[in-house]
Amino acid sequence: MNLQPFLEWTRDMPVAVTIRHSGWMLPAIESAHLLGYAGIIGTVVAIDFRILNIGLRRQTAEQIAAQLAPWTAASLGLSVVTGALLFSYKPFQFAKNGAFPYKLTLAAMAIVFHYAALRWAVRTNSAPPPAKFLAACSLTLWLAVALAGMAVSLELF
Amino acid sequence: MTSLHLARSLERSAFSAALRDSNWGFAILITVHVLALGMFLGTVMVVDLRLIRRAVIGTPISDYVGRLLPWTRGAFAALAVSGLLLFCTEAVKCYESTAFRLKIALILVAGVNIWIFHRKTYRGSPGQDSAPWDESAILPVRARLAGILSLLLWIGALTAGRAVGYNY
Repeated sequence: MNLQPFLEWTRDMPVAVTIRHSGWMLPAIESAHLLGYAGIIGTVVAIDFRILNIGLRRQTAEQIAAQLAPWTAASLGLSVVTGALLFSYKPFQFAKNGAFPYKLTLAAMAIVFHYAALRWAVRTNSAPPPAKFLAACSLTLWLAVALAGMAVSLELF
Repeated sequence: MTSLHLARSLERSAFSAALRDSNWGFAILITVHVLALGMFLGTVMVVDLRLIRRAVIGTPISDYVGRLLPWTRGAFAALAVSGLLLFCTEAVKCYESTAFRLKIALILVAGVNIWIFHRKTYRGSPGQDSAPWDESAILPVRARLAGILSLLLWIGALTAGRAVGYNY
């Protein structure tokens, strides 16, 4: 698969050029990316810790998840949009970054897991062992996404 | 001896030099800092959203204080320790950075906001741990204000922190 035309197209997008020529937009977008990340971790932790019985306990996991759902979705949206903007800032470097495919794959897995497996776990209000296992998987997946993100930003691989 | 001298001698100390020169020192510290940030800011934002009635309204504040706050505190400890060590490696740059000073100022004000909330706003009548409005969906203006301030201050601290890396 030849990515060259896609990378060139991304690099030349007006928004990418604007970010590259601005001194403050890149740190601002990175901050927003971190804010989205914190929003995901916070809402996911509130839900998973409830299922694992180490967090909030006055409401069921289903109630907590339902009320936090718009914020999880908003945080995911913010992370994805700012992530795409960060990619457009230097697409060729990201394409060479060894950790980047792992980050993308893990993030996609974590999102799918959240809206498929965890949704089921949340509905089992008695939180049987399988639900607890899924909650632990959810936390591990998001931790892996964060670690891969750090590997990308530090260009470790 | 001025603060700048202090920052300079800290940066030149054998400890700081060892951190700077180690291959993995910075990578590990910044990774711990970002992981702790997710846990800290994440749990703080969930509580703030509760205070301003934007999420998990049915959960009493005491449930947060008893069950989620220990995690927030633990994350803050990791955030502070890793942050302090990162500061050692480039104390002069931080000292001279406007963004870094702003970040510290915002953290201090956020700390005062938390202190006021726990000491004054969220105080129960004698013999009670929690405020009478602990379980209410709509909280007093002071509590809502604490939530809004907390959100703004911590997001500001995050943004200022990121700006330090860009020599602001």
